[in-house]
Amino acid sequence: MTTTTPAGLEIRGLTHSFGSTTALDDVTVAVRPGTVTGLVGRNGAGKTTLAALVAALRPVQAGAILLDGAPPWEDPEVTSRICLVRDKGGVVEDERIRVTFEFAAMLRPGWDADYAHALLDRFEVPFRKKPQQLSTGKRSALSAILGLASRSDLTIFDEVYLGMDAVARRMFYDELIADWIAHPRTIILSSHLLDEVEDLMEDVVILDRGRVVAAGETDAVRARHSRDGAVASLTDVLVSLSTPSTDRSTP
Amino acid sequence: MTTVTQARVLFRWLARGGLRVLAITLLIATVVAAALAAVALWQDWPEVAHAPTDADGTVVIGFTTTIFGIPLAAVAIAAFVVSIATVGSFTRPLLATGATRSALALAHLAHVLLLALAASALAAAVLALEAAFAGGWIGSTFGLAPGDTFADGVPALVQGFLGALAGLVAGSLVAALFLRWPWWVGVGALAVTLWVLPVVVASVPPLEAAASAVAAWPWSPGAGAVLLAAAHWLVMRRMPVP
Repeated sequence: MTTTTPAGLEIRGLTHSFGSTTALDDVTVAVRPGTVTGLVGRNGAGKTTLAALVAALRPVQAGAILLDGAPPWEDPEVTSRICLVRDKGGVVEDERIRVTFEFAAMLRPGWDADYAHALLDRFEVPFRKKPQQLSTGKRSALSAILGLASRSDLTIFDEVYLGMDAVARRMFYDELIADWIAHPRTIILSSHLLDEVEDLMEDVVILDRGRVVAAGETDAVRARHSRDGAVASLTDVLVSLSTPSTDRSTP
Repeated sequence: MTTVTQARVLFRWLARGGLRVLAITLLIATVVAAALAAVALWQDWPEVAHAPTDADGTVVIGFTTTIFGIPLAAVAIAAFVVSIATVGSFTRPLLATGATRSALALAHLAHVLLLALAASALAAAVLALEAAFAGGWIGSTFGLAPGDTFADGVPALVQGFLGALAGLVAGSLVAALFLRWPWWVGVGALAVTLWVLPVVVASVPPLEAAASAVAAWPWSPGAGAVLLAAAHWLVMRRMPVP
């Protein structure tokens, strides 16, 4: 069985623009190896762009991304250690799931086919179907399965479980923690469902309009924003740190 | 895993799928061509079985271009479609699964080279058959005359291989253009290459003369394939995955 090596991620001065829109602005942050780190922010905060750059899905425009000291761009040794799963993309939509699994088996050293098939059974995803034929919930489950069974040293789940129902999400969280304990690796969870996932997050990075507005151990971040003896939730922290909607139209 | 190792792994996977498609196409096209030839014989269609007799008085069949030409054309078309579909369907999922652009570009180019070689191997087999029966058969996909040998068809075979290779690389390049940039970039590139440029070249006599000289050069399809491969590499180099 392939063993995982939790990867440390370091991001320095990362700036990324789409035309005149700055998606990320001088982001500097580190993710400790072996942790479950939350990537939190409102819509348009830059979470997905950051995840895509870390996974080398786009070239870096300015700044640096280092996985255990090495940049992932065009380095197969590094890209094979990173798995980014999203609710869309990353699979061959018009071919049977088998083809997507073959890709993972070819390119992901930690891929566990038996575990993947066990998860397909558990989430009741039909193996013989094409991803485009699956319902939204099953399609999300398939992405989650790819992320879990890849057992990559750095695995990023970007809103992958939004399409799942409450029961499937609970199964996913349970599976994630159980497998993370059995095969320690670095996990980044990006989610809007903060109430459900904040207890899973040891560390948290909060983005607002492309900038890091808070980062560190989740309990410490929450404690800093707690008032009058009541411990703040991550949602409370996000509300207090995010730019109000009325101010979001101007960069 | 190095880039070359990864490219080899990707190539093996692409090659398996590509050759499977060509084999199935060949099988179906051969059955269709054989059925067509049988009907042509039975009905004595003049376009296909137009030669009256050979020395023995038996019907000499002029359907070599049918029975060999149809499978050859079908395999060439299938190879072209595979070269486009491979890049169009699998590039983004493979990049998202950890493949690098360099490895994938290498695998694409090796894959189309294999497809061109496979189609050319089929063409060589046809040439060998036609050469073996040269003089007894009427019509030849390679234009063999009675008494010609295999060697007489080799220049056409080589030209066909280089032309097929250039066409397949062009197919991969066009698919990569549409993946990397918005659709109008690909459409614009095709319009300029297939429409504007020929009109401009035809309108300027020195350019037309130069183009004719290039076209007459026997290695121009090969040189074109190399240039197209370089362009494919450049387009793939910074391919984003949205």
